[in-house]
Amino acid sequence: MKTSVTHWFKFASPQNFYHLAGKLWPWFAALATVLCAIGLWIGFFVAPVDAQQGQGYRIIFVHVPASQMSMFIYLVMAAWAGIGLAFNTRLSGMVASALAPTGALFAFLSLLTGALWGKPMWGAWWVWDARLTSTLILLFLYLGFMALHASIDDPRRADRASAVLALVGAVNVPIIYFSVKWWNTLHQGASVSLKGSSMASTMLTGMLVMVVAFWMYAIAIALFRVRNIILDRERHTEWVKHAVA
Amino acid sequence: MTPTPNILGAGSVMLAVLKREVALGLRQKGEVLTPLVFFMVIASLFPLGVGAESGLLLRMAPGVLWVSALLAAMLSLQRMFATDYADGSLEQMVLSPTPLGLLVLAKALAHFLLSGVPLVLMAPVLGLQFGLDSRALGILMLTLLLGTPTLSLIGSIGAALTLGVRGAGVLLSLLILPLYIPVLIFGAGAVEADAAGLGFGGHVSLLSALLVLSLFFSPFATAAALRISLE
Amino acid sequence: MQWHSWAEFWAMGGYGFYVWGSFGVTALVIVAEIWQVRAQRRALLRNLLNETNSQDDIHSSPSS
Repeated sequence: MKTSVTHWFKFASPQNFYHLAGKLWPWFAALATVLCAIGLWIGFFVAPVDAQQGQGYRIIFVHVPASQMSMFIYLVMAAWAGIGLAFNTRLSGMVASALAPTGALFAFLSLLTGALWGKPMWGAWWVWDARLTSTLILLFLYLGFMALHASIDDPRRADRASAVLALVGAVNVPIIYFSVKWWNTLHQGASVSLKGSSMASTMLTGMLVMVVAFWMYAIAIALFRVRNIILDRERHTEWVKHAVA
Repeated sequence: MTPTPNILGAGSVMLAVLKREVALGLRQKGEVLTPLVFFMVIASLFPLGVGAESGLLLRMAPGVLWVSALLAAMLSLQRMFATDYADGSLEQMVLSPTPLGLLVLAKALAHFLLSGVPLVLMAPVLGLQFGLDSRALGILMLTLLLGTPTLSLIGSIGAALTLGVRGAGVLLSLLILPLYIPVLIFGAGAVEADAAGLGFGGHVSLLSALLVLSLFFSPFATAAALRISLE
Repeated sequence: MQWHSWAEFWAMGGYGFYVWGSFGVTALVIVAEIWQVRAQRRALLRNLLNETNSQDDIHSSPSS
């Protein structure tokens, strides 16, 4: 008797997941688009002007989603990498590799938008703000993951080596964040945030909607990318030959 | 009949590994001395780059010396596993009944003795060039003494991951440097905190905590990475 | 509606460059990423098609 749990395990095979991902990604893309439209509407037409930062604060509607997602994706990536190591599943490593570029791009965006936010507010393109500095280090961790994976020829060894790295990185992220925070307060750094302003509930809503929009987008892109990775890695199998022809 | 873990046995194996590493390192004096010279050169580059104004140098000194020590410690990391990998003795270690984590620990300790301790001893000489007083020099040495073993331990993970990989040297640095940042922050921050009257106790405790954490966890990660690299 | 004219909207209270710069850069990165994954897929499919075709040729060519 097939239980529903074993039913799900069939998607651990790259072939089945390929088809599942193919059906799912358009839905996530559509969700992302709709939520983004709603979020931008709220962000530009509903949320009021900020008392301290004027209209400039509206950058949070992309800055915060980008930084939240960059951190979240790293944890998800490390989790999938860990599952791949523990259960020796091929697909988990592929999913981790599919997530990394998106996470890195979000971290990069977070830094860019953070700079664009910091310049008018603090007068400098880069302030060694605790969160921005931690995001910079997170970007290095992503790049390290991708560099290690790219430099190992055997895909299985590459998956597993970068998995160890991702897990070590994940454990270190709180330590790094805490130490950078300490370092920042000691040096009386600036803070790129809305501290001191009251967050109107519409601002918060708009921000949350955009965070979820970015999340749906990340899932859609990762599903699409993992299909590419599956095709590439499984190219010698019959099902790929049929799927491609 | 599987061999039962023997604490005394494991200890003497670790000691043997440690002695072997140190003996090999001392035989290759160049490999041990080059990072040390690198340390001196890097530390001297900063005043050349930013000017020799004494106030500035004094402020920069802990950070500069710590960054230089970090880079120098990283230089010798590849040696930890690469030569043994090349001649097959690493496989023997992985296959031995002694837990791989303990052997890795011995290797990391050897790395600390060969690269960290010389850095600790050389640091005061360089610190004088930057105008640090004896109290600051003492604190600096203490932080380096606590920090460099952590660097060896965390570094061993990177060395194991990049075994036999193209461009391993630079890749190792890219992977390891972000993980070194907490050690750098607390190590370099101690001198400044003390100078500001806040005392160095907090920083030293945190450095010790990082050391203990890496002592417990990095051997696992390094052993896992070694097995992955060797399969 | 808090915007009294298009000009006001674009100006963003003087922060126009920074706000639209941020949203513009975000849009750019997202579009670039979408383009990249699609290009990657196209290249892969082309590659794999060539592989199967050339293998068919090898398998179906008359043996001398």
